[in-house]
Amino acid sequence: MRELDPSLRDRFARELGSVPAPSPRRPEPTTASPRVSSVPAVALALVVLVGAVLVGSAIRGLRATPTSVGSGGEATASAESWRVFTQAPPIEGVPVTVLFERRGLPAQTQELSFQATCTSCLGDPSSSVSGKAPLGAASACVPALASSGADTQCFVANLTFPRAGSWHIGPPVDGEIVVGTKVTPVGFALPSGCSYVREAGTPSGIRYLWQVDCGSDADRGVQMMRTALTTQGWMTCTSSVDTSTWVKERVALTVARLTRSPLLELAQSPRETVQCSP
Amino acid sequence: MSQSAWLAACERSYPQVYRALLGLGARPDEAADAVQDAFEHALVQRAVVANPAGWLFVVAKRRWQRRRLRERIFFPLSSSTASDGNLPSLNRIALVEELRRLPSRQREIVVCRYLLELTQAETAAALGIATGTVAAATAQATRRLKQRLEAAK
Repeated sequence: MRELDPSLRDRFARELGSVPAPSPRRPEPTTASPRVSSVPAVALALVVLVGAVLVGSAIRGLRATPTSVGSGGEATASAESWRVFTQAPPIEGVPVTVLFERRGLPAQTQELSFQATCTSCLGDPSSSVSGKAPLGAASACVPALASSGADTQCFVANLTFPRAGSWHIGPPVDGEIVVGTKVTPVGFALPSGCSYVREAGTPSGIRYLWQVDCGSDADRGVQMMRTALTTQGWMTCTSSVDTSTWVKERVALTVARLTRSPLLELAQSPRETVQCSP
Repeated sequence: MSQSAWLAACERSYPQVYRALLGLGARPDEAADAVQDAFEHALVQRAVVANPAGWLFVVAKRRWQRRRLRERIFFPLSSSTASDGNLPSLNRIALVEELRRLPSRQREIVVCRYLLELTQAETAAALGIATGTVAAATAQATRRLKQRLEAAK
Protein backbone atom coordinates (compact mmCIF):
# COMPACT_ATOMS: atom_id res chain seq x y z
CA MET A 1 0.00 0.00 0.00
CA ARG A 2 1.37 3.38 -0.95
CA GLU A 3 2.44 5.52 1.99
CA LEU A 4 1.20 9.05 2.44
CA ASP A 5 3.56 11.90 1.80
CA PRO A 6 5.14 12.58 5.21
CA SER A 7 5.68 16.31 4.75
CA LEU A 8 2.09 16.82 3.64
CA ARG A 9 0.84 14.64 6.47
CA ASP A 10 2.77 16.78 8.95
CA ARG A 11 1.37 19.91 7.41
CA PHE A 12 -2.19 18.61 7.65
CA ALA A 13 -1.63 17.70 11.29
CA ARG A 14 -0.01 21.04 12.05
CA GLU A 15 -2.38 23.38 10.21
CA LEU A 16 -5.77 21.71 10.09
CA GLY A 17 -5.26 19.37 13.00
CA SER A 18 -4.81 22.35 15.29
CA VAL A 19 -8.10 24.01 14.35
CA PRO A 20 -10.29 23.91 17.45
CA ALA A 21 -13.24 21.58 17.04
CA PRO A 22 -16.51 21.40 18.96
CA SER A 23 -17.37 18.40 21.11
CA PRO A 24 -20.25 16.05 20.38
CA ARG A 25 -23.44 16.82 22.26
CA ARG A 26 -25.79 14.06 23.23
CA PRO A 27 -29.34 15.36 23.07
CA GLU A 28 -31.34 15.22 26.28
CA PRO A 29 -33.79 12.34 26.31
CA THR A 30 -37.25 13.74 25.72
CA THR A 31 -40.50 12.46 27.08
CA ALA A 32 -43.08 11.56 24.52
CA SER A 33 -45.49 14.40 23.94
CA PRO A 34 -49.17 13.62 24.12
CA ARG A 35 -50.54 12.62 20.79
CA VAL A 36 -52.64 15.34 19.22
CA SER A 37 -55.35 14.50 16.82
CA SER A 38 -54.40 15.61 13.31
CA VAL A 39 -57.80 17.17 12.50
CA PRO A 40 -57.65 19.95 15.12
CA ALA A 41 -53.99 20.52 14.20
CA VAL A 42 -54.88 21.03 10.54
CA ALA A 43 -57.76 23.33 11.49
CA LEU A 44 -55.44 25.33 13.73
CA ALA A 45 -52.88 25.62 10.95
CA LEU A 46 -55.56 26.87 8.57
CA VAL A 47 -56.74 29.49 11.07
CA VAL A 48 -53.15 30.68 11.58
CA LEU A 49 -52.58 30.84 7.83
CA VAL A 50 -55.74 32.84 7.15
CA GLY A 51 -54.92 35.16 10.04
CA ALA A 52 -51.41 35.73 8.69
CA VAL A 53 -52.78 36.57 5.24
CA LEU A 54 -55.27 39.05 6.70
CA VAL A 55 -52.63 40.73 8.88
CA GLY A 56 -50.24 40.86 5.93
CA SER A 57 -52.89 42.54 3.80
CA ALA A 58 -53.53 45.11 6.51
CA ILE A 59 -49.84 45.92 6.78
CA ARG A 60 -49.53 46.30 3.02
CA GLY A 61 -52.49 48.62 3.05
CA LEU A 62 -50.85 50.79 5.67
CA ARG A 63 -47.63 50.92 3.72
CA ALA A 64 -49.45 52.00 0.59
CA THR A 65 -50.52 55.30 2.13
CA PRO A 66 -48.51 58.38 1.12
CA THR A 67 -45.32 58.55 3.15
CA SER A 68 -42.58 61.09 3.52
CA VAL A 69 -39.28 59.83 2.26
CA GLY A 70 -36.14 61.64 3.35
CA SER A 71 -36.26 65.38 3.85
CA GLY A 72 -37.39 66.33 0.37
CA GLY A 73 -41.08 65.96 0.15
CA GLU A 74 -44.07 63.77 -0.33
CA ALA A 75 -43.94 60.44 -2.03
CA THR A 76 -46.86 58.50 -3.40
CA ALA A 77 -45.83 55.15 -2.10
CA SER A 78 -48.62 53.21 -3.72
CA ALA A 79 -46.91 53.18 -7.11
CA GLU A 80 -43.33 53.24 -5.98
CA SER A 81 -40.83 50.51 -5.67
CA TRP A 82 -37.31 50.51 -4.40
CA ARG A 83 -34.15 48.66 -5.13
CA VAL A 84 -30.98 49.08 -3.14
CA PHE A 85 -27.63 48.23 -4.65
CA THR A 86 -24.19 48.13 -3.15
CA GLN A 87 -21.40 48.42 -5.65
CA ALA A 88 -19.05 46.35 -3.54
CA PRO A 89 -19.16 43.96 -0.63
CA PRO A 90 -19.20 45.52 2.83
CA ILE A 91 -15.56 45.80 3.86
CA GLU A 92 -14.61 47.14 7.24
CA GLY A 93 -13.66 50.78 7.05
CA VAL A 94 -13.76 51.07 3.26
CA PRO A 95 -16.33 53.45 1.72
CA VAL A 96 -18.79 51.66 -0.53
CA THR A 97 -21.14 53.28 -2.99
CA VAL A 98 -24.76 52.56 -2.22
CA LEU A 99 -27.36 53.23 -4.86
CA PHE A 100 -31.05 53.61 -4.07
CA GLU A 101 -33.22 53.29 -7.12
CA ARG A 102 -36.82 54.42 -6.88
CA ARG A 103 -39.44 53.99 -9.53
CA GLY A 104 -42.78 55.54 -10.18
CA LEU A 105 -42.46 58.83 -8.32
CA PRO A 106 -42.66 62.51 -9.16
CA ALA A 107 -39.17 64.00 -8.89
CA GLN A 108 -39.61 66.01 -5.70
CA THR A 109 -37.38 64.35 -3.20
CA GLN A 110 -33.87 65.79 -3.21
CA GLU A 111 -32.38 63.77 -0.44
CA LEU A 112 -33.08 60.40 1.02
CA SER A 113 -32.53 59.34 4.60
CA PHE A 114 -31.49 55.75 4.95
CA GLN A 115 -30.37 53.33 7.55
CA ALA A 116 -28.13 50.33 7.20
CA THR A 117 -28.59 47.62 9.76
CA CYS A 118 -26.28 44.70 10.26
CA THR A 119 -28.36 41.56 10.43
CA SER A 120 -25.47 39.37 11.54
CA CYS A 121 -24.13 41.52 14.37
CA LEU A 122 -26.33 40.42 17.23
CA GLY A 123 -25.85 42.50 20.33
CA ASP A 124 -23.38 44.86 18.70
CA PRO A 125 -24.37 48.50 19.37
CA SER A 126 -22.37 49.71 16.37
CA SER A 127 -24.38 47.56 14.02
CA SER A 128 -26.48 50.34 12.56
CA VAL A 129 -25.45 53.27 10.36
CA SER A 130 -27.63 56.17 9.24
CA GLY A 131 -26.96 58.57 6.42
CA LYS A 132 -28.39 60.77 3.72
CA ALA A 133 -28.20 60.10 0.02
CA PRO A 134 -28.61 63.11 -2.30
CA LEU A 135 -30.47 62.72 -5.55
CA GLY A 136 -28.02 61.68 -8.24
CA ALA A 137 -27.95 62.43 -11.92
CA ALA A 138 -29.94 60.18 -14.22
CA SER A 139 -26.68 58.55 -15.26
CA ALA A 140 -26.21 57.36 -11.68
CA CYS A 141 -28.88 54.71 -12.22
CA VAL A 142 -27.74 51.27 -13.25
CA PRO A 143 -28.15 51.34 -17.03
CA ALA A 144 -28.29 47.58 -17.38
CA LEU A 145 -31.49 47.39 -15.42
CA ALA A 146 -34.59 47.09 -17.47
CA SER A 147 -36.46 48.99 -14.79
CA SER A 148 -34.36 52.14 -15.16
CA GLY A 149 -36.38 54.67 -17.08
CA ALA A 150 -37.82 58.16 -17.10
CA ASP A 151 -39.76 57.57 -13.89
CA THR A 152 -36.70 56.33 -12.05
CA GLN A 153 -34.70 58.33 -9.55
CA CYS A 154 -31.38 57.28 -8.13
CA PHE A 155 -29.88 58.42 -4.86
CA VAL A 156 -26.22 57.81 -4.30
CA ALA A 157 -24.30 57.74 -1.04
CA ASN A 158 -20.91 56.61 0.13
CA LEU A 159 -21.30 54.43 3.15
CA THR A 160 -18.53 53.12 5.38
CA PHE A 161 -19.51 49.89 7.05
CA PRO A 162 -18.11 49.56 10.58
CA ARG A 163 -17.75 45.84 10.05
CA ALA A 164 -18.29 43.14 7.48
CA GLY A 165 -21.39 41.03 7.65
CA SER A 166 -24.91 40.80 6.33
CA TRP A 167 -26.45 44.24 6.01
CA HIS A 168 -29.93 45.37 5.23
CA ILE A 169 -30.03 48.80 3.69
CA GLY A 170 -33.16 50.78 3.19
CA PRO A 171 -34.88 54.06 3.86
CA PRO A 172 -36.32 53.95 7.37
CA VAL A 173 -39.76 54.84 6.04
CA ASP A 174 -40.50 53.19 2.80
CA GLY A 175 -42.91 51.58 0.48
CA GLU A 176 -42.04 48.21 -0.92
CA ILE A 177 -38.32 47.65 -0.67
CA VAL A 178 -36.66 45.10 -2.83
CA VAL A 179 -33.10 44.61 -1.77
CA GLY A 180 -31.14 43.70 -4.85
CA THR A 181 -27.42 43.45 -5.09
CA LYS A 182 -24.97 44.39 -7.72
CA VAL A 183 -21.71 43.48 -6.14
CA THR A 184 -18.52 44.15 -8.02
CA PRO A 185 -14.98 43.91 -6.71
CA VAL A 186 -13.81 46.93 -4.78
CA GLY A 187 -11.45 49.08 -6.82
CA PHE A 188 -11.51 47.06 -9.98
CA ALA A 189 -13.31 47.33 -13.29
CA LEU A 190 -13.19 44.51 -15.79
CA PRO A 191 -11.23 45.15 -18.98
CA SER A 192 -13.18 45.37 -22.20
CA GLY A 193 -13.58 41.92 -23.66
CA CYS A 194 -14.28 40.39 -20.27
CA SER A 195 -17.65 40.06 -18.62
CA TYR A 196 -19.08 38.65 -15.45
CA VAL A 197 -20.77 35.33 -16.00
CA ARG A 198 -22.86 36.09 -12.93
CA GLU A 199 -23.32 39.81 -12.42
CA ALA A 200 -23.93 39.59 -8.71
CA GLY A 201 -21.21 38.25 -6.50
CA THR A 202 -22.00 35.02 -4.77
CA PRO A 203 -21.02 34.97 -1.14
CA SER A 204 -19.00 31.86 -0.51
CA GLY A 205 -19.21 32.28 3.22
CA ILE A 206 -15.60 33.35 3.28
CA ARG A 207 -15.07 35.44 0.21
CA TYR A 208 -17.06 36.95 -2.60
CA LEU A 209 -16.55 35.03 -5.79
CA TRP A 210 -17.12 36.11 -9.36
CA GLN A 211 -16.68 34.12 -12.52
CA VAL A 212 -15.34 36.09 -15.44
CA ASP A 213 -15.44 35.22 -19.12
CA CYS A 214 -12.57 36.69 -21.14
CA GLY A 215 -12.94 34.40 -24.13
CA SER A 216 -11.98 30.81 -24.79
CA ASP A 217 -8.27 31.27 -24.14
CA ALA A 218 -7.64 31.32 -20.39
CA ASP A 219 -3.98 32.38 -20.82
CA ARG A 220 -5.05 35.41 -22.79
CA GLY A 221 -7.73 36.15 -20.19
CA VAL A 222 -5.17 36.04 -17.39
CA GLN A 223 -2.96 38.41 -19.37
CA MET A 224 -5.88 40.80 -19.92
CA MET A 225 -6.71 40.77 -16.23
CA ARG A 226 -3.07 41.33 -15.30
CA THR A 227 -2.84 44.33 -17.61
CA ALA A 228 -6.09 45.79 -16.30
CA LEU A 229 -5.08 45.30 -12.67
CA THR A 230 -1.71 46.94 -13.22
CA THR A 231 -3.32 49.83 -15.09
CA GLN A 232 -5.79 50.35 -12.25
CA GLY A 233 -3.06 50.56 -9.63
CA TRP A 234 -3.07 47.04 -8.20
CA MET A 235 0.22 45.53 -7.03
CA THR A 236 1.08 41.84 -7.16
CA CYS A 237 1.11 40.27 -3.73
CA THR A 238 1.55 36.55 -4.41
CA SER A 239 1.60 34.66 -7.64
CA SER A 240 1.57 30.96 -8.47
CA VAL A 241 0.79 28.87 -11.51
CA ASP A 242 -2.95 29.25 -11.30
CA THR A 243 -3.53 32.01 -8.80
CA SER A 244 -2.35 35.53 -8.25
CA THR A 245 -3.28 37.88 -5.45
CA TRP A 246 -3.24 41.62 -5.93
CA VAL A 247 -3.41 44.40 -3.39
CA LYS A 248 -4.54 47.98 -3.75
CA GLU A 249 -4.75 50.32 -0.81
CA ARG A 250 -6.26 48.11 1.88
CA VAL A 251 -8.05 45.46 -0.11
CA ALA A 252 -6.92 42.34 -1.93
CA LEU A 253 -8.20 40.64 -5.06
CA THR A 254 -7.36 37.12 -6.12
CA VAL A 255 -7.48 35.97 -9.73
CA ALA A 256 -7.58 32.22 -10.31
CA ARG A 257 -8.04 29.91 -13.23
CA LEU A 258 -10.90 27.48 -12.99
CA THR A 259 -10.17 23.82 -13.52
CA ARG A 260 -11.30 22.52 -16.92
CA SER A 261 -12.83 25.83 -17.90
CA PRO A 262 -11.63 28.95 -19.70
CA LEU A 263 -13.41 31.07 -17.09
CA LEU A 264 -11.47 32.97 -14.47
CA GLU A 265 -12.47 33.38 -10.87
CA LEU A 266 -12.13 36.60 -8.92
CA ALA A 267 -12.25 36.46 -5.14
CA GLN A 268 -12.30 39.23 -2.60
CA SER A 269 -12.50 38.98 1.13
CA PRO A 270 -15.25 41.02 2.78
CA ARG A 271 -12.73 41.98 5.40
CA GLU A 272 -10.20 44.67 4.99
CA THR A 273 -6.72 43.44 4.10
CA VAL A 274 -4.12 45.40 5.97
CA GLN A 275 -0.95 43.96 4.51
CA CYS A 276 0.18 41.75 1.70
CA SER A 277 1.47 38.80 3.69
CA PRO A 278 -1.05 36.01 4.35
CA MET B 1 -18.90 -3.80 17.54
CA SER B 2 -21.10 -3.05 20.51
CA GLN B 3 -23.28 0.04 20.63
CA SER B 4 -21.12 1.68 23.29
CA ALA B 5 -17.92 0.95 21.35
CA TRP B 6 -19.52 2.35 18.21
CA LEU B 7 -20.52 5.58 19.94
CA ALA B 8 -17.13 5.92 21.57
CA ALA B 9 -15.49 5.56 18.16
CA CYS B 10 -17.84 8.18 16.70
CA GLU B 11 -16.99 10.55 19.55
CA ARG B 12 -13.28 10.06 18.94
CA SER B 13 -13.73 10.78 15.22
CA TYR B 14 -15.93 13.82 15.80
CA PRO B 15 -13.18 16.51 15.79
CA GLN B 16 -11.45 14.94 12.79
CA VAL B 17 -14.68 14.84 10.81
CA TYR B 18 -15.33 18.48 11.70
CA ARG B 19 -11.91 19.45 10.36
CA ALA B 20 -12.40 17.26 7.30
CA LEU B 21 -15.55 19.23 6.46
CA LEU B 22 -13.61 22.47 6.84
CA GLY B 23 -11.12 21.00 4.41
CA LEU B 24 -13.91 20.27 1.96
CA GLY B 25 -14.96 23.92 2.06
CA ALA B 26 -17.60 24.08 4.78
CA ARG B 27 -17.89 27.12 6.98
CA PRO B 28 -17.21 26.43 10.67
CA ASP B 29 -20.88 26.80 11.59
CA GLU B 30 -21.94 24.51 8.73
CA ALA B 31 -19.33 21.93 9.66
CA ALA B 32 -20.36 22.01 13.32
CA ASP B 33 -24.04 21.56 12.45
CA ALA B 34 -23.38 18.79 9.94
CA VAL B 35 -21.13 16.73 12.19
CA GLN B 36 -23.52 17.14 15.12
CA ASP B 37 -26.41 15.99 12.92
CA ALA B 38 -24.36 13.00 11.84
CA PHE B 39 -23.49 12.20 15.43
CA GLU B 40 -27.13 12.29 16.46
CA HIS B 41 -27.82 9.95 13.57
CA ALA B 42 -25.07 7.70 14.92
CA LEU B 43 -26.84 7.56 18.28
CA VAL B 44 -29.76 5.74 16.67
CA GLN B 45 -27.69 3.77 14.17
CA ARG B 46 -28.27 0.08 14.70
CA ALA B 47 -26.41 -1.54 11.82
CA VAL B 48 -22.84 -2.62 12.40
CA VAL B 49 -20.40 -0.39 10.56
CA ALA B 50 -16.76 -1.36 10.39
CA ASN B 51 -15.42 2.12 9.90
CA PRO B 52 -17.07 4.68 12.23
CA ALA B 53 -14.89 7.61 11.12
CA GLY B 54 -15.68 7.02 7.46
CA TRP B 55 -19.36 6.56 8.19
CA LEU B 56 -19.57 9.74 10.27
CA PHE B 57 -17.69 11.68 7.58
CA VAL B 58 -19.94 10.52 4.75
CA VAL B 59 -23.14 11.24 6.69
CA ALA B 60 -21.89 14.67 7.79
CA LYS B 61 -20.74 15.47 4.26
CA ARG B 62 -24.18 14.65 2.86
CA ARG B 63 -25.88 16.82 5.51
CA TRP B 64 -23.59 19.71 4.68
CA GLN B 65 -24.07 19.32 0.92
CA ARG B 66 -27.84 19.20 1.35
CA ARG B 67 -27.73 22.38 3.38
CA ARG B 68 -25.55 24.07 0.77
CA LEU B 69 -28.03 23.10 -1.93
CA ARG B 70 -30.93 24.49 0.07
CA GLU B 71 -29.07 27.75 0.63
CA ARG B 72 -28.29 28.07 -3.05
CA ILE B 73 -31.94 27.56 -3.95
CA PHE B 74 -33.43 29.88 -1.39
CA PHE B 75 -30.73 32.55 -1.02
CA PRO B 76 -29.09 32.78 -4.44
CA LEU B 77 -28.41 36.49 -4.27
CA SER B 78 -28.03 37.23 -0.61
CA SER B 79 -26.87 40.81 -0.30
CA SER B 80 -23.72 40.07 1.61
CA THR B 81 -21.75 37.31 3.12
CA ALA B 82 -22.27 35.95 6.56
CA SER B 83 -19.60 36.97 8.99
CA ASP B 84 -17.91 34.51 11.25
CA GLY B 85 -15.20 35.31 13.69
CA ASN B 86 -13.39 32.05 12.97
CA LEU B 87 -13.18 32.56 9.25
CA PRO B 88 -10.23 34.90 8.86
CA SER B 89 -7.85 32.61 10.71
CA LEU B 90 -9.05 29.63 8.70
CA ASN B 91 -8.79 31.62 5.52
CA ARG B 92 -5.15 32.35 6.20
CA ILE B 93 -4.21 28.67 6.14
CA ALA B 94 -2.61 28.17 2.75
CA LEU B 95 -3.20 24.44 2.91
CA VAL B 96 -6.95 24.98 3.28
CA GLU B 97 -6.93 27.43 0.40
CA GLU B 98 -5.16 25.00 -1.89
CA LEU B 99 -7.20 22.05 -0.70
CA ARG B 100 -10.38 23.83 -1.67
CA ARG B 101 -9.11 24.33 -5.18
CA LEU B 102 -8.81 20.61 -5.81
CA PRO B 103 -11.64 18.84 -7.64
CA SER B 104 -14.26 17.68 -5.16
CA ARG B 105 -13.51 13.97 -5.54
CA GLN B 106 -9.79 14.47 -4.92
CA ARG B 107 -10.58 16.75 -1.99
CA GLU B 108 -12.77 14.10 -0.38
CA ILE B 109 -10.13 11.45 -0.83
CA VAL B 110 -7.37 13.67 0.51
CA VAL B 111 -9.26 14.58 3.66
CA CYS B 112 -10.13 10.92 4.22
CA ARG B 113 -6.51 9.88 3.85
CA TYR B 114 -4.70 12.76 5.55
CA LEU B 115 -7.19 14.07 8.08
CA LEU B 116 -9.29 11.06 8.98
CA GLU B 117 -6.24 8.83 8.54
CA LEU B 118 -8.23 6.16 6.75
CA THR B 119 -6.45 3.50 4.71
CA GLN B 120 -6.97 3.24 0.98
CA ALA B 121 -9.40 0.38 1.47
CA GLU B 122 -11.36 2.23 4.18
CA THR B 123 -11.51 5.36 2.03
CA ALA B 124 -12.69 3.35 -0.94
CA ALA B 125 -15.38 1.65 1.14
CA ALA B 126 -16.58 4.89 2.73
CA LEU B 127 -16.82 6.78 -0.55
CA GLY B 128 -18.04 3.81 -2.57
CA ILE B 129 -15.23 3.86 -5.11
CA ALA B 130 -12.46 1.51 -6.19
CA THR B 131 -9.23 1.25 -4.24
CA GLY B 132 -7.29 2.00 -7.41
CA THR B 133 -9.20 5.24 -7.81
CA VAL B 134 -8.27 6.21 -4.27
CA ALA B 135 -4.60 5.46 -4.92
CA ALA B 136 -4.50 7.38 -8.18
CA ALA B 137 -6.44 10.35 -6.88
CA THR B 138 -4.32 10.52 -3.72
CA ALA B 139 -1.12 10.54 -5.79
CA GLN B 140 -2.44 13.22 -8.16
CA ALA B 141 -3.80 15.41 -5.39
CA THR B 142 -0.64 15.06 -3.31
CA ARG B 143 1.50 16.08 -6.26
CA ARG B 144 -0.72 19.04 -7.06
CA LEU B 145 -0.94 20.21 -3.47
CA LYS B 146 2.81 20.04 -2.99
CA GLN B 147 3.45 21.94 -6.22
CA ARG B 148 1.02 24.70 -5.32
CA LEU B 149 2.19 24.99 -1.76
CA GLU B 150 5.79 25.18 -2.93
CA ALA B 151 4.87 27.84 -5.49
CA ALA B 152 2.98 29.83 -2.88
CA LYS B 153 6.01 30.04 -0.57
